[in-house]
Amino acid sequence: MSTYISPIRNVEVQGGMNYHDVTETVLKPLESKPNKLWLMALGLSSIALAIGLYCIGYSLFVGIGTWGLDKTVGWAFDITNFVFWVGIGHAGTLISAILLLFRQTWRNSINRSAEAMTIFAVICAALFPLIHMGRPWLGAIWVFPIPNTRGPLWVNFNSPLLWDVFAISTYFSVSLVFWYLGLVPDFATVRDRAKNKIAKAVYGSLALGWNGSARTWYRFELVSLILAGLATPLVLSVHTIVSFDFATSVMPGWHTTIFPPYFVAGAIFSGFGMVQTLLVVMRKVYKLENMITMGHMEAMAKIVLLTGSLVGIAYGTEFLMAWYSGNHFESFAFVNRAFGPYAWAYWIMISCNVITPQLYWFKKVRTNMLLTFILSIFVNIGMWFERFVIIVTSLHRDYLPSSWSYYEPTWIEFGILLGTFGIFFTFFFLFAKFFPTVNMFEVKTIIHLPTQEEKTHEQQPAEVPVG
Amino acid sequence: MSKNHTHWNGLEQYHAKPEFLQGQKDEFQEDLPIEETFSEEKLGLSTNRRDFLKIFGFGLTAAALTACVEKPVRKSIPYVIKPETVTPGVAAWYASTCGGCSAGCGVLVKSREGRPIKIEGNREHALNRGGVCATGQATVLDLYDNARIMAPKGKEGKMTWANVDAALGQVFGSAGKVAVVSNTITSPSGREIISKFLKRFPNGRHIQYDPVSYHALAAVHSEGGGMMTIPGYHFDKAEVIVSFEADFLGTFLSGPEFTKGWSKQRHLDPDHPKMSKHFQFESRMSLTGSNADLRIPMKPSQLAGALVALYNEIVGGSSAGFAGPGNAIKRAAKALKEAKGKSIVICGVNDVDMQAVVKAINTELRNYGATLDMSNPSYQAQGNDKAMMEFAKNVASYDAVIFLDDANPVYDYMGGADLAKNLEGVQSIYFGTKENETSKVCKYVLAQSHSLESWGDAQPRKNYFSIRQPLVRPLYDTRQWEECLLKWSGDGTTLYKFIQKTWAGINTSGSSFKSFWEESVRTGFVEVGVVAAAISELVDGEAHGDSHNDGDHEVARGVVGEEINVVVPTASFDAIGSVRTLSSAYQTGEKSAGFELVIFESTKIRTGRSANNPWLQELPDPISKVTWDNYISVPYAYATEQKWEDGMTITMSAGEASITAPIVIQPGQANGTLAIAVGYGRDKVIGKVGAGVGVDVYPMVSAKGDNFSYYGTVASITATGEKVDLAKTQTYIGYELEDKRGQIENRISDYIVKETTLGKYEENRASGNKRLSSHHMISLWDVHDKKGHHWAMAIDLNKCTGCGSCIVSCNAENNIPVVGKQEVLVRREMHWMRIDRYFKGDPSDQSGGLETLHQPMLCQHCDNAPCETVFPVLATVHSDEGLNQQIYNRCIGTRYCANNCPYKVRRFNWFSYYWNDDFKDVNYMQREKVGRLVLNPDVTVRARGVMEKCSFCVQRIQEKKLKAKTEMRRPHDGEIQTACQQSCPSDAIIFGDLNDGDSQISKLYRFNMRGYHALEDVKTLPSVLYMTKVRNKDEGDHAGSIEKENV
Repeated sequence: MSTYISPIRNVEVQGGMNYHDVTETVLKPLESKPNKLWLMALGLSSIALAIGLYCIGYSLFVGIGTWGLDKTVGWAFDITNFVFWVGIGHAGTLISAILLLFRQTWRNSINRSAEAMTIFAVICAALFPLIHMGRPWLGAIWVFPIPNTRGPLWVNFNSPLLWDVFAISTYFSVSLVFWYLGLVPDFATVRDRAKNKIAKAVYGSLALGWNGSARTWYRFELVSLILAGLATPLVLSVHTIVSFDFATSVMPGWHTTIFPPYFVAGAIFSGFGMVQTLLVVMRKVYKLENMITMGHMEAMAKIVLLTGSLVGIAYGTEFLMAWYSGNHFESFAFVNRAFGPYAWAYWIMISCNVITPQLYWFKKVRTNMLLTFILSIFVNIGMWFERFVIIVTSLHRDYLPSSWSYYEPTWIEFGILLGTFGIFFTFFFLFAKFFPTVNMFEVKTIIHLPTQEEKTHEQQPAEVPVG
Repeated sequence: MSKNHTHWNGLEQYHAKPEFLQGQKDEFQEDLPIEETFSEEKLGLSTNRRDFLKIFGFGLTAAALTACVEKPVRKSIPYVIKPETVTPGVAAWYASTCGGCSAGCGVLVKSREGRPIKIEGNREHALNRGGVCATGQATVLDLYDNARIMAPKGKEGKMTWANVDAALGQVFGSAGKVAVVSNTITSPSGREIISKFLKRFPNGRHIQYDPVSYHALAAVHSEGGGMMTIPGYHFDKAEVIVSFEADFLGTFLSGPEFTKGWSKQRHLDPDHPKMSKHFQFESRMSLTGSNADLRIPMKPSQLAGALVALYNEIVGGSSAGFAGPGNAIKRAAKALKEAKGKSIVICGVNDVDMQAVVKAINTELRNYGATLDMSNPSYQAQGNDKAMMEFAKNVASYDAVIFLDDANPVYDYMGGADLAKNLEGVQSIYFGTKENETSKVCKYVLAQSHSLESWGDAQPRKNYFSIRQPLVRPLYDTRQWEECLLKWSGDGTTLYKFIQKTWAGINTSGSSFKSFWEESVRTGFVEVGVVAAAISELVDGEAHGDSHNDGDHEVARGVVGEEINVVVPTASFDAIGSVRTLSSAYQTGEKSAGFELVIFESTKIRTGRSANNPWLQELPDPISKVTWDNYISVPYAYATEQKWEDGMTITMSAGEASITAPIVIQPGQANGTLAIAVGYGRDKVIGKVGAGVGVDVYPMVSAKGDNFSYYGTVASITATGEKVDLAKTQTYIGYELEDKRGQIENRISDYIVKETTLGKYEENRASGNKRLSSHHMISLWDVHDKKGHHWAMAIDLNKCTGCGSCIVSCNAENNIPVVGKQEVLVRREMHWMRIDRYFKGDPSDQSGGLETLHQPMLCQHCDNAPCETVFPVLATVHSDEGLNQQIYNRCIGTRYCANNCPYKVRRFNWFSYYWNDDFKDVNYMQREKVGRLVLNPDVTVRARGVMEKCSFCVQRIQEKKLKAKTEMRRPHDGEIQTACQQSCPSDAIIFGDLNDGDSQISKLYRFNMRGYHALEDVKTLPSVLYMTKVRNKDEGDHAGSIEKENV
C-alpha cells in the first residue's frame, strides 16, 4: 500500500487492525455460541417484555381506567413514553444520514448500532399512539385515510395526531430500509463465512444475492446516498411534527412556537445519550474498542454537551417568553412548572439535562467511560422527565382552577414503561447476537493500513480526537 | 315420420333412421341417471344401524347440552292492540306530586313505553313553578333500586298479603294502644285514613315527627289543636331577606319554591336595576349563605345575641347588649326598616325563643300578610318533637306500632337505639319501600309501593292541593300503606274512590266533580278557589296599617339591654321572655370558649332517606364538593392552627355520643364551630350504594325543652392521626396556594367568573365585565355557516344558587354513569354539567369578607372549538346549528380533545361502566336489569374508550324540532328546553335560537351588558354566555370595615 495518508487525517480505527481483524472481531459474537452474560441479559429483558405485554393486555381488556389519568390529565405516561422513544430514535438517523452526507467517516463504526437503536425505539414509540387510545381496535384502522363506504367520513387533516401517523410511519419505513440496505454487504460476508447450512440459507437470503461486483457497489453507494438525502429532513420533521401535538393546542405550556427546534434538539440530545449508554457497554463486552474508539465516545459527549446546552437555552427562553408575553395563563403555567406540585419532576429534568452534561467540558470526564455511562443514564432520565413535565404539568393546572388535579401513575403504567425497555433491549440483544453490530464494510473503507515506512519505524499513530 | 317430407333437416331425417326417429320422440336422448343420482347411497342418505346409533347418540347429547345453557329470555312483545296512551318512541308526561320530601312539589313525570324515566317540575304548580331539587328528581331512580322491599315479610320470612292481613287482623283485634308513627304526612286523604284506622282502637295515636324538625317554627305559628302551621314565605316579594341559619335555598322546608321566589328578586332588569338584599347570619357555610349579599359567620350562641340585637334595633333603635358584628346587624335592621312589609326575617334554628323573636320582628315589620302568608299557611312540618319524645319513652306500653312510609326513627330519632330496644315486646309493623334500621327491628316488614306507583294527594299549603298518580303498575308485590290501613279499618272503599271523596270535598270550582277531578289529575294541582281570592286580597293589602291585627300575632315591643330593661311589655305572645332567655343564653355562650356543634341536613341525602341513591351520593356538595361521604367541617383558622388537612380524621364528642369522621376545612365557617351532616352512616340493609357511607350523627341530636336541638357543645376533639381520602369533584379550594391566591383570584375574576356590585352596575351596566377589544377577536378560521338555527345558552350567575339540581337532571336525561367513590377520587366523575365553586377573600374571614361564587360549567359549544381541530378521525364536529357534536360511534378515544378543552368538560369512559363488575353496585341503572329501566331510550349508553360531553340535549332539540316541523312552523322561543334549564329552580339558564331575532337568548346576546364568555381571550367563541354576578353590597359592607366601625 503506497497511498498517501495525510498526517492530519484522523486515524479512526486503532490497534493496527487489518480487514481480516475487523471481520473477525465483529463477527466473533455472531459466529460463536451465546455466552452466559448475553443469555442473562436477554432473559432479563424478556421478563421486562413479558411484564409489559401483560400490562398492555390488561389495560386493553379492562380499559384505560387502569392508568392514573383523569378528566384533567388525559395524557401522561403514554405520550411521555411515546415522545421519549421517538426522541431516542433520532440519533440513529442523524448518525447514519446527516453524518453520511457530511462525509463524517468516523460515523462508520457506530452507525449500525445507532440505526438499530432507531428502529427499535420507533417500534416502542409507535406502540403508544396505538395503546393510548380508548378503542385501538378501531383507531388503528381509522387513523389511516382509507377510502370507505361511509361517504365523506375521513380523517381530520387538521389534527396533529394524524400528522404524527404519517410522520412516524414514514420515518419508520425509511429508517428500516436504510438500515437493512446497509446490512446487505455485511450479510453477504456472514453468508460467505457461514459453516452451517441454515445460517448460510438465512444470511444468504438476507444478503439478497450480493455479489460484491463493482456495479453492485456503485449502485449500493448511490442508493445509500439517496436514502440519506431522504432521511435527513426526517430527522428534523419527525420531532417537529411530534412537537406540533403540543404546539398547536391551546394549553398554556404547550402552545409555544419554540417547540419544534427545542424538541429536535432534545431528541438528538436524548438519542445520543442512549447511543452512549449502549456503546459504552457494547464496545467493552464485544471488545470493539479499536473500532469504537475513545475518539468516538468523546465526539458523542461533545454533541451531548452541545444539545444539552441548547435544550437548557430553550428552557430559559420559554420562561422568558412566558413572562414577556404578559399572558397570565402562560406565566402561571411556567411558574407552576418550576414551583408547583410537580417541581420535583422539573428539577430532575433541569439537573439531568442542563447541569450534569456540563461536566463534559472536561476531557477527563469525556474519556472516563464509567462517568460517561452514568451521565448518559442521567440524560435518559432527564429527557424522559422533560416530556413528563411538558405534558403533565401543563395539563394538571390549566385554565379553570376547578378542574385542577394531581396525576399519579399506577403500576400498570410503570409496567408498560418497563415493557418498552423490554422490547427495546430484547430486540437489541437479538440484534447484537445475530447481526453484525459494526458496519464492517464501511469500517474497512476507513482503515489505516500501515505504510512500509510506518512498518519499519513501528510507529504507532497518536491518538487524535475525532471531530 | 315418412319420407314424403319435402323439406328435411339432415340426411338422418331424410333416410328416417329408426334411432333418429326414436330420438326425436324422446326429449332426452339418453336415459337420465335419476335413479343413480338420487339414490340414498349416492346422496349419503343411507343409514346403517351403527351410523343411526352414532347420530342418535350425538343428537341426544347435543340436545341435552344445549338445554343446559341458560339462555336469558328476552321479552320483546309488540303491542297487538296499542294502548291509547302509549306510542312507542313518544314520551307521555303525567302530572304528579314529588315524593322526595314533605314540600310536595308539583312534578311532571316522563314515561317512555310505560316506564317512568324522568321527573321534572310542573310549571303550573303554584309552589315550585317548574323547579325541582336534586333529591326530588332522583326519586325516579329509587323506583328501580334493587334494594327495594319486593314482598311483605314477617319474622319467619316471606309472606303473602293475605297472610299479612290475617296475621295483623289478629294483632289489631287484641290491641288497645296503637301508634302510627310517620314523618309529616301532607296527604289529606292519608291523614284521614290514619285517623279512621286509629278510631278502631280505644287508644290510638298518630305520631308525626321530622328528623330535621321545624317544630319550634310551627309552634309559634300554630294555635294548638288542629294542623301545625308555618307561614307561607313569599321570597318573590321580599326585597330584604335576613336569614338566621335558615338554608331556605337548600333544605329549609321547600327549597325549589323558595329558590323560585328568591331568584325573581335577583332578576336584573337593565332598565330598572333592582334586586333584593340578602343578609345571612349563620354558623356553617350553607348553600343559602354562599349566595347571600352579606354573610356573617357566627357561632350558634352568638346567633341568639344577634337576633336580640336585631330585635332591639327594629323595635327600639338600639342594639345594646350585643358585642358581635353590630354594624352588620345595624345595616340589616336599617334595610329591614326601609322595606317594611317587603322583607322576610327567617330563622332555621329549632328553638322556640328564637322563633318567637323572629316572629316578633316580622310582626313589627308588618311582614305577616305581605311576605308571610298565614291565611294560606304551610302544612309541611307537622312533626311534633314533644309527642315523639313522649312516644319514644313509652313505646313499650304500646300493643302495636306501625311505622309508615319509610319512617325510620331507629336511625333518625336521637334516642333510636333505646327505641329499638323498647320495641322488642311490641308488635311492630314497618311499612316502606326500602329496608332500613327500623325495618330491621320490626316484626312485620310490609312492602310499600313507590310514590310513582301510587295514588295519593298532598296539601303542602292549606289551599294548595296536588294529586299523585301512578305512572306504572307496582313492579313488585307491594301495596300502598293507605290502601292497607283503609282495609284494616274496615272501610270497603278503594283508595282511589277514597281520594276522590276527599277531592269532592274541595271542589270549589263550581263544575261537576267528574270534570273537576279529570282536570285536577291532568294538571296535578288545584288551588282552592274561595281562599285564593282571600290570598290576593292579603297580598295586595297595603292597607293593613297600624290597625292590622293578625289574630294572635300581636307582639310585645321592648328593648332589651344589658340589664334587660323591658320597656313596653304588652303581649299575647311573650316575645320579651324569649328575648331575655336568648340574651342570657348568648352571654353564657360567649363566655365559653369551647367548640359548638352544628348538625345540619345536606342538600342531597337530606335526612337520610336518599342514602341509597347513587345519583345523589355522587352529587357533589354545593360548597365542599365532597361526594360519597359526610365529614366534619372545621373553620379555616382553627384547622390552620392545628395544621390539619382535609381528610384527617378527628374524634369529637358531644353529650354522650362521640363520632370519628374526616374533616373538611371550610373557609367562611364561624370560628368555634364544627359542623356535620345527618343522613350518613347507614346500616347495610339499606342497600349496597349507601351502606357504610359516612357516619351517623343523629345520636348527637339533643332535646332542648320540647324541641330537638341540632346544636350542642363539643366536649372533646382529638385528632386520630389517621387520614382518609375524601372524594371531591373540585380539589382546588384556593387556600392551598397561599402565596398565589391573589394571582388565582385575579384569574377567576378577569377570565372566569365576573362580578360587580349593584351600586357599580347602576352606574355602568358593563361594570366588572371588561370585554376584549375587537381587534383581539380576529380569527384565522372561517366562520361556521349557520343558516337554520344557532343554538346557544345563557347562564345568569346572579340567579344560579349552585344547588346542583341541574346535575341530577342531566344525569337522568343523558344516562350518565355513576362511577363511585374510588373513581371520583381519581377525578373521573362523569357529570356533563358541573358547578364550579370559587371562594374569594380571606378564608379565615369572620366579618363578611369571604364570598362564594358558583358557576355552572358545561360544554361551551365553541364556534372555534379547540377539540374539533385536534381530533384525528372527526369524531367531534361542528353542526350547522352551532352544536359541537360528539359522535360516539366514530370516537377512538385519544383524549386529545379533552386535553385541549380549556373548560375541561369532556368526560372519558375509562371503563365499561355498564358491564364491569366493579360498578355493579353504584351504577345499577346501567348494569342491572331492573335498573336499566330508568335509562332514557333516546340517548346511547356510551361504550368504553369513548369521549362524551354535554350535547345541549340534542335529543330534546330534535324532538321539538320535529314537532314544529310537522306543524309547519319554527320552534317557538322557549319551546326547547335543555334538561338543566328545565330543572333549574332559579331560572338561571336560558336556551334558544340566536338566529331568531326575537328570542330571549338573542336579545341577551345582543343587548345585555352583563354577558361575557368564560376564558374569552382563548378565542374559542363559546355558545354559552355567562352573565355577571351582581352583589347587592355596598362599599361599607366589605371585609374589615364592619369590625372597625363597631369598635
